[in-house]
Amino acid sequence: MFTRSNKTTRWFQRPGLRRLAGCVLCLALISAPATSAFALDKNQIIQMSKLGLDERAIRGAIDSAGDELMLSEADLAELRSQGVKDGVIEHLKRSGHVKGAKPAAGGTPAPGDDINLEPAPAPAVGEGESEEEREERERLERERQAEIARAADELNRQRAADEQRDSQLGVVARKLPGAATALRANNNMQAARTYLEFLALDPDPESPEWYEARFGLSKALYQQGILSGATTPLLETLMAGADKPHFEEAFEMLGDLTRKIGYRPPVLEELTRSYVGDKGEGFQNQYNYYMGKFFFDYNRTDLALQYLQEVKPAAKDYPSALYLMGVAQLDPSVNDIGGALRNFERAILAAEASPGSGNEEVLQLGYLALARVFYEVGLYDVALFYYQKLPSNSSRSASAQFEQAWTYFLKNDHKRALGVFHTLHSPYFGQWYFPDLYILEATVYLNLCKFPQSQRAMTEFRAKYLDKRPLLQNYLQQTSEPADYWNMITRAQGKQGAAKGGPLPALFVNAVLENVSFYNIYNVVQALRNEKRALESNISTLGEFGEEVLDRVNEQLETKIQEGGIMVQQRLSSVDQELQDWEIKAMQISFDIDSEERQQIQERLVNPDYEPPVVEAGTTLLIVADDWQPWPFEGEYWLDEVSSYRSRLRTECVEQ
Amino acid sequence: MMDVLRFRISTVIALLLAATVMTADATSAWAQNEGSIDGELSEFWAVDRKLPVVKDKLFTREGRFGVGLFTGMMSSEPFLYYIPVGGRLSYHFRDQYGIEISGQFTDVEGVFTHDTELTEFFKRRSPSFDSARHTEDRFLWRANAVFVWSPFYGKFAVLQRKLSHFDLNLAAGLGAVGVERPSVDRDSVSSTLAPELVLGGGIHFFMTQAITLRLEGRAYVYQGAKTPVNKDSFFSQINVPTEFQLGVNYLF
Repeated sequence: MFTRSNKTTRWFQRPGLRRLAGCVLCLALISAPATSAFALDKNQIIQMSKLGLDERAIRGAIDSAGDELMLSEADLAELRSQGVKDGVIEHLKRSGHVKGAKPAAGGTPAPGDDINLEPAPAPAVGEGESEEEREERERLERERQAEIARAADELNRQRAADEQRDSQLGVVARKLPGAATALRANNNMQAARTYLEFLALDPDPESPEWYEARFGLSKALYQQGILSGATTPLLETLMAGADKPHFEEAFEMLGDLTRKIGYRPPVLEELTRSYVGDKGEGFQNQYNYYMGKFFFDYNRTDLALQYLQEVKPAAKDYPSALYLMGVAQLDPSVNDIGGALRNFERAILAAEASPGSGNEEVLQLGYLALARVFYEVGLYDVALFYYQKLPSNSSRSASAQFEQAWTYFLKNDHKRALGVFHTLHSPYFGQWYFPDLYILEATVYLNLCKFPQSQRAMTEFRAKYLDKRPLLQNYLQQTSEPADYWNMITRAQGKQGAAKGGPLPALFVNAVLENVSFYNIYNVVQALRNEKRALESNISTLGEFGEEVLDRVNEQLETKIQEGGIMVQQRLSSVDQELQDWEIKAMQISFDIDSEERQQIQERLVNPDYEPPVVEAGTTLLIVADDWQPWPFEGEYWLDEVSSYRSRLRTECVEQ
Repeated sequence: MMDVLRFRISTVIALLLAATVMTADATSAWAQNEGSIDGELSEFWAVDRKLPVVKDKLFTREGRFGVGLFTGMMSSEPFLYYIPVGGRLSYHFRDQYGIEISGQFTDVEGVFTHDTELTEFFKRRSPSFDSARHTEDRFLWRANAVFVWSPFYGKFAVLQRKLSHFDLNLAAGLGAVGVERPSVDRDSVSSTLAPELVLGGGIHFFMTQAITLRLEGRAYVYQGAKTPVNKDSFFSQINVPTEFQLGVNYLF
């Protein structure tokens, strides 16, 4: 674009100078009586000509007149006869102010075109000029000359300032290698100060020094934990192109920022224009995974798949890429269940092939995804096989167990369903919010004609959930500010606070904590708080820039807390609504228990010698190792046993 | 009812499948703060939760005192073997940690202290052989205090039938032993008190919530009797008698 040697051109490219030049031009125009050009007519054009106004000034007045100025050929003849210059008449024709004349394309010069700051010639003395007119003309001329002189002074001052700035730039630019050394030594704020000093001098954005400074600043802030502050210079570094020296490192930082603070603005799509084919395979994998995940997050499934499938098996993110591809293929717009299953399996195999590489989560998600898909298609045994692959110490184990309970329930495998209920009641899973667990349990007992147990499950449901609902309702009624909701959950009145007499039982707090949206917002808030602390401790070094970033971080923090508070409120409201629904279902089941119990009593009266059948209604095909050891449950929960409970209850229903 | 429930599970699965995707982000998010709910959140979101192997343990000792009786067998000495009897008093700060004071008595020859075959051999061969002067220390009693660490807790079964819970412990402490000690020149005998280091381990079987059956091993490290042979070498005087104990404890 522009180089440092072409200073004049660069000055005009600077917005301030352009504006200045425009001002001078306008002043040349408005210094004529044509300021009243809103109602410009041929007489005023003649008058301006007679006043000796510069042709460009008259043309400007004509341009300002708009469509109301419309002359005929006869008017043009009169203008000629009155001494109006041909250039003005031609301009009238070109600009469409003459009936029948075809306006020339682009006839009106653009404001920035060929601006000449040379002062316009002084207006000639008109014939028959009155004394007042002469004084007015001379006054206007003096003002015009004064304005031109002022503009020239301004330009000179600007030029001098630019020369001084260029000199300063040269001085500060010589400090940049030292800043890079400081950066390598983790003296982040020292480096950032130098980079900021350089960038404050408005260097040429095309210069290598500018690139180094922007990258260095982003890296210094990133290393210091000022993540939001690092995003803007980092983005500029990336947008400078993949051919630039720090592109790969900047891209890696971008990936980290996305993970830590969820930074993924839509403009990152521009990175797809970067050619990375000449980079190493490792980087290409990283790039393809990032862009695939980026499009996946924006629900652009086709592009996500396109990039993700380019991730090679040697890549660290290969299992994640396969998993994401699987999920993307389940999207209704793709609906490739077979492909999804294959990719989940491949993701699991890839994750298992690289133990300890941080792919444990993908492994668990892969198993869970397979289980859920097979559940959805009704292959319950296969679903159970995958559900049981999740280790007990995984936080996802609770969901897997809960879904297993439903699966066994739907298979009529009451033995194992009851076993899973027992698992979910254990201290390992007791904190999870599963209100329907009791409803399900009561239903299973009802199906086995175990009426006391069924009633007991309903009693426990009421005690654990319904009896505490008024506390929730009361809190919802009394609390309106999102920040209060957020503080209740995250501060002293959170789960720990509940034990100390907080406003909500831990049960409802847990219902929020296990919500993924809350978890995501919480992590972003924590990251922003970290950044705020880092900024506040370095604010003196970062100066105005630091203040700006701090303001931005504070604003983001407040926004996120508001967002989080609203999310908490919505979650608690939905919990309240769910409990209302489950209360109705609980009443239905209680009614069913009563009526079924009455019916069974009648049946037993009819058939007093009845022996309940031994065979269960449903069974589950599972591979059980020969060396399994059955232990009676005595009240003690062992982690390695907790997902393997079986009930030995038999049905007591009397066959009719 | 079934229809309602089936609808419910479908909804749950759909939501969870969506959550599965979102969580892929969330779990890798930055959560390194010492926030008040970081610990709680890890319960719900950690890939690998730090869970205790056992919860709601059937047999706990935290904050409980225990008293016990024991007997045992010390056969590590060449000239005498002992069948000590003793008692213990213990307190458990935690399930895994406790202190224990114990004492034992062995000073009744023919009952708690017996000649070995070697001693009997010498007595048969040499009428002038005096087991008190011509052998080593004879233990009269000992008392010690040990710190007990019980890192292992388990249950065991035999032939598909569960028998008991147990724990394994390690013990270390200090004590004193009263001995009847021959002089260096073997012409006299005197009673002496010697400090000792106590090391050991054991297994406790939980018979009931209050009663444990204990099988212990103890090694006592102390400076034994000087002889014309070892009188100039401290390390040669070090004696490490060992004993096995069988006891019963009552926790209250």
